[in-house]
Amino acid sequence: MEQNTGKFRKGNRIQSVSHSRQDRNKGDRGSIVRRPDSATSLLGRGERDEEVVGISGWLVPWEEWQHSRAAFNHDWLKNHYLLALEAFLNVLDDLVENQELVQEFVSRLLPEWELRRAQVVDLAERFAISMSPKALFSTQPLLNCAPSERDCLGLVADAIWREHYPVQRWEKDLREAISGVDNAYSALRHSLELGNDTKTVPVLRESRAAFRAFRNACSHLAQAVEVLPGTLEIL
Amino acid sequence: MISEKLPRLLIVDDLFGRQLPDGRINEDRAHLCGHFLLRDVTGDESSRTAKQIIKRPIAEVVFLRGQKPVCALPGDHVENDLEGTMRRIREGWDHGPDRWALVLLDLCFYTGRVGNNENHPGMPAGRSGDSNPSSYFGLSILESLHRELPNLPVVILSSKPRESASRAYAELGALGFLARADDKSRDQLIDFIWRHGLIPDDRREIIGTSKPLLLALRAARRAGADQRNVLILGERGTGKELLARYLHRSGAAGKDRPLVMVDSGSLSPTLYASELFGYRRGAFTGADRNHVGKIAQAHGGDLFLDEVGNMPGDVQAGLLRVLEHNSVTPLGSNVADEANVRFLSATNEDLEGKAATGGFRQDLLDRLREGGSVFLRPLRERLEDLEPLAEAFVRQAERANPNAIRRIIEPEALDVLRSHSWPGNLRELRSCIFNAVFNYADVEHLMPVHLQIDRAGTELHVAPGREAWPRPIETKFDDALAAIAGFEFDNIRPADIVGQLYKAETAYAHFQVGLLRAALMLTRRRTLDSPEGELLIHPAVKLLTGDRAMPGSKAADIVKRILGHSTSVKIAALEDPVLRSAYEKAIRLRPSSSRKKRVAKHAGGER
Repeated sequence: MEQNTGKFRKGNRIQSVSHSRQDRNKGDRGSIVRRPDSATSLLGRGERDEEVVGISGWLVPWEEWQHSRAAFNHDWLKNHYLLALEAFLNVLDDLVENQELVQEFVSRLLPEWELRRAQVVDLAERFAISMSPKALFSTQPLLNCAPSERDCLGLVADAIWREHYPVQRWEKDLREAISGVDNAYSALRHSLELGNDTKTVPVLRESRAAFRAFRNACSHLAQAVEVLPGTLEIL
Repeated sequence: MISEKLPRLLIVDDLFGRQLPDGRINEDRAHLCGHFLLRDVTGDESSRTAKQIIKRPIAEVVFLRGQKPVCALPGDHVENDLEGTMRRIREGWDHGPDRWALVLLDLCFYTGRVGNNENHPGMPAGRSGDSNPSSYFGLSILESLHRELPNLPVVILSSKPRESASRAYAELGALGFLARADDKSRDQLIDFIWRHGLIPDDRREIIGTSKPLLLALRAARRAGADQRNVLILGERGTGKELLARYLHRSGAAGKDRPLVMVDSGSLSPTLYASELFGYRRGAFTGADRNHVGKIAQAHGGDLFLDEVGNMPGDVQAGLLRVLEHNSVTPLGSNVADEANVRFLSATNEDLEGKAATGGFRQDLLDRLREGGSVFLRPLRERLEDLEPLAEAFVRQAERANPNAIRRIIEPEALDVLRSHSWPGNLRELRSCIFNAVFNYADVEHLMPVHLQIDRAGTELHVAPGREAWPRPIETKFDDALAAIAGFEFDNIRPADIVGQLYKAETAYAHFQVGLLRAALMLTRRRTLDSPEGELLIHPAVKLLTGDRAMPGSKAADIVKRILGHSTSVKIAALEDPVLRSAYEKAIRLRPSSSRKKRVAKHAGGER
């Protein structure tokens, strides 16, 4: 981790982002982040390899945020976690027989939410910073403006952006969706603790309503993340 | 809703189509199958070793990565494979019962170097263009499919936002969008299979899996989805009544609704109105009691009007009133009864032409096909179905004749059946098979010798009632001409022909090549030196054109023009020794200008 250069490489995305956000405040190229190395990343596909990077091997903030979103929402939540949940619910509904999934779901797959939660929280926190047109003033060519002009024009661009788009509502919906998943997860965990064996279908079936509520909350979260804009809008 | 033989889907998707090394299971794929209730029949290691059992699968599925290598290790580079993908799709589209019912196509395919991706092992990190909606690889595949296999039903299966490429995939003929991880997506998939999929009749009342039949069944399901009237077109004996029954039971509300059948051909003009509209006692001489007409019987359901082209003019006017007012007034009554009826009409006539000449009311025709027309192709255009049909008819005949023993249909007999053009269609085939079984009840093998398919005789023998009239003997050539002349462009969507008219031109060019070859063979001059006959292009072209005064040079030009229509036509034609010989003769007679120059130059050099 290159903590003092305003860029990051390798390792945990969340830590990296945290550093990059700190570094952005330091000016210069602080807002341009080095691409993470997918070969050692935890998140996988959302982190594209070197051919992705637009400007001399550096990701601008909105690209970096989009990649983080893709890694969380497209790669993990929709194509991995929700699919596993749907398949598991069908096991509980006796439509599918999959002993392996029954054995592993509660111990291995379900807790992935605890590991991934921080990523979506981070996405929510960074959304307005990364996707506001204000971010343009921290990258070339607007980076060449005088600092006072950058600050002033950046604030104006940000205000207009917030006026034109329901930014606050998006952020609020996303935060609520995250806490919705948290609540459903806690309720599910609580329900599972009441059962004496979480590796048999009849016992798991007693928590079917809680599983379904958790699936619905995850599905709602996926929509709340998806609805956020995919491009940086220049008004 | 879906037949015992499960529909076969193809999912083209980089994530689910990939294989993992060392026989590991593609867990994502197993979860997708568990979510949609699909039975994985891909045949790779992952599908063989998966221990998941889908108890009530809605379909079988084959997964295709669309990229190479299919199984990638860390450090490998994964690239999109359009050619290989198209080849695999073609293979599954051209071959019979396991034909793709529906293709589910991913949009975004990730390429590049494979890293250590814990969630999705074997997946590359992706390049910048991969996730750009304007350059999705899925759209490239869709474009190729749209151009080459326009009848193949394709639905987008993606976890990307649908609006990211909705215009592009709609323009390229995709029939819908299916979100992967949505709790409603399984029901949506079942609906897509039903509405867009090419699936056979679940009750096997209509037998066959050929593309023309499956397309007709799909059209019937779509038309049957609402309560608008449908017109069924097709030659006699193609199974229009069976299709009407299929359409009736395919509708969402078809379960308990009545289906009333009217064979208009069997009704005399005087009886037609009274049968259809009903009558009150005393309405006419002999009407000694009230009679409920067919329309009133069908209230709340469907009325099948066979041979609707035979309907007398006054009945047409009465039926139009029924359609306009949703009520029917029996003969001899002043009171109209409610008649909420869907009309399923059938004809083997050119009703449009008949309407143009005043033989049928145009306004009634428009009403009768407001929900669309379904065209049943003749048997000769779906010979792929001949074997299962023959098999089914043999079994029916054996059941109908207690003395008949069970037999197998020998390949030679099938060859004979396939070589016939079946102007009487399924009815003629059924009769031919029944005759074979009844006349030769005590044999275990159905052989060519058992089949009576003399065309004119068979027709006279099998066709009941009004269809037993003798008609001129038809040939395959007549069939071809009729198919070309009678091809209707009315129901073709603009998207189906835009940019494809060159295909019609090429097909016509091949047709002309075939004609030329036939003429060449017919006009061969047999001599002692050449018992097989010498090929002569001049008489062949005269025969083709009917121009007896045509000079030989012009005939040579025509041969050159037919065979040289395009490179593809020329290459295919010149593989045939007869056509190659004709072409060489034509070139000798009429060398091209560049060739003439070369010859002249060569001759000058010699001088």
